[in-house]
This record gives sequence, structure tokens and C-alpha cells, in this order.
Amino acid sequence: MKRTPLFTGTLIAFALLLGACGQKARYIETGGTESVVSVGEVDIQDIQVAASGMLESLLETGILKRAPHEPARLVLDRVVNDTSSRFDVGELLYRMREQLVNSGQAEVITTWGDNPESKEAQGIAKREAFLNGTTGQASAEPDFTLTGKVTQIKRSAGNVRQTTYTFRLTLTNVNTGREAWTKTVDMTKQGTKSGVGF
Amino acid sequence: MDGRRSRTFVNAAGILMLTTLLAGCGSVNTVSTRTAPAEDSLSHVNVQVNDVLTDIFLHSTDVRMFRTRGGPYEAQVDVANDGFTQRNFAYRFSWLSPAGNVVPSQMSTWKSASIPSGGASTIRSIAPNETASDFRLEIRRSD
Repeated sequence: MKRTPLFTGTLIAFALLLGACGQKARYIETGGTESVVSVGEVDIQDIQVAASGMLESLLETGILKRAPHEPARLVLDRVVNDTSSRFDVGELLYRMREQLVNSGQAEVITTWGDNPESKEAQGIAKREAFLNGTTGQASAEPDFTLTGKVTQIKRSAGNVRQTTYTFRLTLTNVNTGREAWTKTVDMTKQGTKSGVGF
Repeated sequence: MDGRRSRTFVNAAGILMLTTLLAGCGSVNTVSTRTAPAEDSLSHVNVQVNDVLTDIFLHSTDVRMFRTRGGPYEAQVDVANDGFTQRNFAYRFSWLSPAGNVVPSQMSTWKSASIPSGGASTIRSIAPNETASDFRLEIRRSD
């Protein structure tokens, strides 16, 4: 009976200690080195690195400068997520668009392609074309279409899991029908479980 | 006699364990046909980069900057690991305008790299536009 207050006190101290150990929610830099790293999922930092690699390749080859129009006219066509990780490929494409469009290196034609936000503009263009008796496409002739795919290769050895995510994009010259640029960015993650920070 | 024998056994076991450990590290031997510095070497920057890399037990053998086919600059930093263990680190390049201001870009992201013992790797970055003429490199050790 004499031990009860001591026992209770110890329990309270232990509970307080555990409470103090728990991590409070806080803001971190998006894609920063404190981000969660998952073995079997595509993380935000993977998308950022993929977009960066694609943009670097586009700029170093100078393919957009060789387009008939300046800035080059792009149509964002289908980019397929063929992985078991659920994420919107728009996360990749919008980062690339932001860089290319806002820096004046490309224009995205939103009345063409597979991106959902083009449907409104597409409808207006079709209506205008119908009223004018034209095809309605001459004013926005694209130079390139962008297509791509994200794939994965999963392997494991004992408890260790490894996943390679491959982002691949291709620019096709719409005038010639030939591939003008293509780029692959690989990301391999290995571990037994998700971790915080890299 | 017994004490001496057991000491010898412990020493032999220690040496064996150390050898196994070193062999398990899978160190890399690196050789190159190029012995002269690259034409686009920035020797003065190499010293500064080395100051940063030394903190994480790595060193830079060369820093280069040159124009790409498309126009923007490309920066390349050769990083070597002379240690006995694999080194993991994260790095981020940011590009600066001629006035010295940071050019905001989706291309400036943290990337991870890993260099085995005795190995070397080249980390690189392309400038977001043709006017960016200087870069800033951040390096962080990964555990």
C-alpha cells in the first residue's frame, strides 16, 4: 500500500516522457532532406528530381530552340503511371511546365493533348472553328507533343526491398513524326521499411 | 602458456575480423587516362568546394563549368572518396544571375549520391537559363 504513490508517480513520469518523445507536426521543406523516404512508393522528392533531370536534359540539348516557333509550342499528351504507387503524373508535368512556360522557353497549347484542363479551351476553339467554318487548329499548331511513362522494377532479398522507378519522356516533332528528344531518369530505393530523411 | 595462447587467438581473430570487414566494404580502385586538368577547370572554386566536402570526409578533384550545346552553363564537380567506408550525401545546386541573385528554378532540388570507398563520382547541374553564370553548391551528409 505504501508503494502506490511511488508507483503512480513513476507511471505519470513515464507517460510524460513518452509524450515528450512524440514528434509534433511541423513544416519541412518540400522535397528537402528531412522528407519521408518510402521503398515501395514514389515520394515527392522523386518527382522533383525526375522533373529536374528532364528539364536539365531539355535545356542542355537545346531542342526547344530548334522549333519552328519561338517559344516552342508543346502539347502535353499522355503520360502513363504504370507503377503500383498512386500519384498524379501532373505533379511531374506541372513542375516542368512552370519552368518552361514561365521562363519563356515554351508555350503549352491547352486546346490539344490529354490534359484535363484543356477541355474548356478545346470546346471554345471548336465552337469558334465551327462558326468560322475553319479547322480551328491553324492558330495553335504545335511543334512537339510530349508523351511518357513511369515504370517500376521491384526486387527483394530477405527483408531488404528494392524498387527502381523509371521516368521516361519523349518529344515528338509533329511536322516530321520523328522523335526529337527522349530522356530517362532512374531512381532506386532500397531498405526494409520507410524512413525519415535522406 | 594458456594466457599467451588465448591472447594470440584473440589477436588472430581480431585481424581476421578486420580483414573481413575491409573486404566486405567493396572498395573501388579508380584510374583515368586523363592526367592533365580539364580545359574548363575552375581551380579557385575547387579549393572552396574542397572546404565543404572535407566536412563529410570527401574531396573534390576538379570543378568545371562550360556552355552546353543548348546554351546554358553546365557545372560538374568530381567528388572522390578516399576513406574506408561508403559515403552517402545529399547536394543541391542553385544558380545565380550575373547580378548575384538566385534564379528560382524547379531544377534546384536536393539529390542524393553515394560513393563507395576509393570511388569517385561526378555531380552536375545545368543552369536554368543562359544568363545564369555562377552556381552555389550545398552539401549535406546522409546517415
